[in-house]
Amino acid sequence: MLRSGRAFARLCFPDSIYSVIFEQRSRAAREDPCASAPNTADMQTDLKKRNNIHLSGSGKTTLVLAHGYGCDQNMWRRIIPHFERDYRILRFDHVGSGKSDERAYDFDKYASLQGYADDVAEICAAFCDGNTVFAGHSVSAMIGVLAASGNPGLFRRMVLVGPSPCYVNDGDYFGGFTPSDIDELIFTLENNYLGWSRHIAPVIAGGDENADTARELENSFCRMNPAIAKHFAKVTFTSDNRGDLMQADLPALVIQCNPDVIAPVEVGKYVADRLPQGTYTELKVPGHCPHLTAPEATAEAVHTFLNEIS
Amino acid sequence: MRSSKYIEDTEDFYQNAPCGFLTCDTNGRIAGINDTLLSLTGRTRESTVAVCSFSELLTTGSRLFAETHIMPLVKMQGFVNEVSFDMRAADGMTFPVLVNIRSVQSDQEGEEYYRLTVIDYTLRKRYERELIEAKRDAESNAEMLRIANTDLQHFAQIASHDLQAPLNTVTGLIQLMEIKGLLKRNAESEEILDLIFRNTRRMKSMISDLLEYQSFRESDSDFERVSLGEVCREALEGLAGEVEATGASFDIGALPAVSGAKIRLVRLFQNLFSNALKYRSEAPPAVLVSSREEGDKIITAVADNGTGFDPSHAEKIFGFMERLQSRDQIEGTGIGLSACRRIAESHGGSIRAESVPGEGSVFFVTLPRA
Repeated sequence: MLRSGRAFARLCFPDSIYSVIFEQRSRAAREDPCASAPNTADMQTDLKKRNNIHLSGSGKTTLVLAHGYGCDQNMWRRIIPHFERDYRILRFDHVGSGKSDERAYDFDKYASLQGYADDVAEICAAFCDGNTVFAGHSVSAMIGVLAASGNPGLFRRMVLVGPSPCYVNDGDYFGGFTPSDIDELIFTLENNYLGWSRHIAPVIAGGDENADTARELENSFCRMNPAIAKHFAKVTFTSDNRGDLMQADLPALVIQCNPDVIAPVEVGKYVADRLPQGTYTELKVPGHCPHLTAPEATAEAVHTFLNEIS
Repeated sequence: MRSSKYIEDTEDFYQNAPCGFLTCDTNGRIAGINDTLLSLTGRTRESTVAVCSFSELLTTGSRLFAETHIMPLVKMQGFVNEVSFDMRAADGMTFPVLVNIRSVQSDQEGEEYYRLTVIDYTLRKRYERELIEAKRDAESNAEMLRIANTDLQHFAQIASHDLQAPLNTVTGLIQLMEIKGLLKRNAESEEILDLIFRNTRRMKSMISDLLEYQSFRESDSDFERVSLGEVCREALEGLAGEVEATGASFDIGALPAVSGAKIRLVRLFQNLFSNALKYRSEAPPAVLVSSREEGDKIITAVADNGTGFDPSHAEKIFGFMERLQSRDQIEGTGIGLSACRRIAESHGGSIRAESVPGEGSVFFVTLPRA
């Protein structure tokens, strides 16, 4: 369905600079054979810029915080104080989200969640020494599952907040949505970005720091350029990673809100059930972002899980 | 009623405001809703307040957007403006709404709540979609036009080149026959030869006029400050032969500068002057060029004492390959004046003509001031 990111870029913005930039970028990537062999310091610098990586706190264990669709690392800010004393915390923005380097957004690479999982593995290899706990919200839960199953030993444990391996209903499986719901989401995105023509989009994307200050403030969180927002939405909500759950063989905690209209309770239970070492915790708060709306309860659940195991 | 005396019934204003009001907690659970929004959604207060969340009033697609992006954004920055959602009424009907959200702290417990204004913007949304469609159409049309224009330019160049070559060959061969004495010289053959030469000449000038006509499509990026006096002098230089042959006199007054492309303007005035010489009366041609300013425009009048034309043809003469006279009377391709119009219009200007048959014509050229 999303075989070609290039085609999708054209579909989103047939005449936009994005498809042009995208073409140039993929060409540059193909033509630069040295791009894959930098030294560690350079690599860290590159990754910091690409994924807007921030490190804080101290401890033997690194807690890697990955945000979900539609957001950025700011989503974790109310959680961080609960862990900074005992953990080294690494938070980052996925490429295309927040203040990541949008130029690194390759529509082909990010046409599946594996592209993001590869980034996570890369980040952990560059910044962590093996003693890593990965916490992923929403789509990042599955990104973590993919990273873990492809790289055994990459994480010691995983925390999955509001995970869903498949948003679309499929036979007996209940994901909560139909394909037309996902189309509706894309339509809603279009309606909200319709003023963001090719003239405005680069500003919103964070390229121009001298942009109008009021707008700057308004879009300082959870930024996304329209073409990427649509692409990421499609990739997120049409992915099916049910088969990957079995491969992530490490202690994993599912934190589930009740009710959650994005990832319903049934789905959270399904995930915990399919993970070889899954544990299920339910928070009696509604919503999809407990780390933002119920940070204490969320932090407590994570603490309990980490202390129990270690 | 004087406005200072008017006391607002705030409760009534809240309930029946011309937009929906809604208050919810940070989890989206509805704490309050006004009558306007209840009637808009076809819901009752009992089935709504403390029962469902704001996002449950939305279509699934909008709910996904709200829960994954907008509500977290409000939690973090305390507000959002002009978010477009689709709302689903109790009867299943959906309608587009524009929503603003502000975070407030309640007095009693210091708890955080969100206040929402909800505006049904069905009509505006329709305009929006129409505009988007129109923009898309315009963009794709412009692209198609650009391609068609390039193709046409290409075609015209190739065609005119290919037409010119055999024409030159024919003319050359006839001249060769003449030189080698292969033609019988008598009154009849002289006349036929003359006709052949006149026709080949006409075809040549037609081809070159056509070629020039289609090249006037250039953009206005090469516009510069151009002196009209200089333009007229250069135009006259190109017609020196005809001026001398006809004994014409030109009275060119002090002319201001305009903004334009000089080569094209010279061509415009050359065409006008050449017409004045071509369509002359018995008397030697006398041409008067004058101008006046009108706002940011310069209007230049080129008046002659020629044959003039029937005023009812004042528009027709600018038509492409339109001619009032038959070819036998006066030579011409019918491209000259349409080229003039095209040049004037490519400058954001215009051209028109007035005439009294038998007394002369005046052409008014409007161009942007430099």
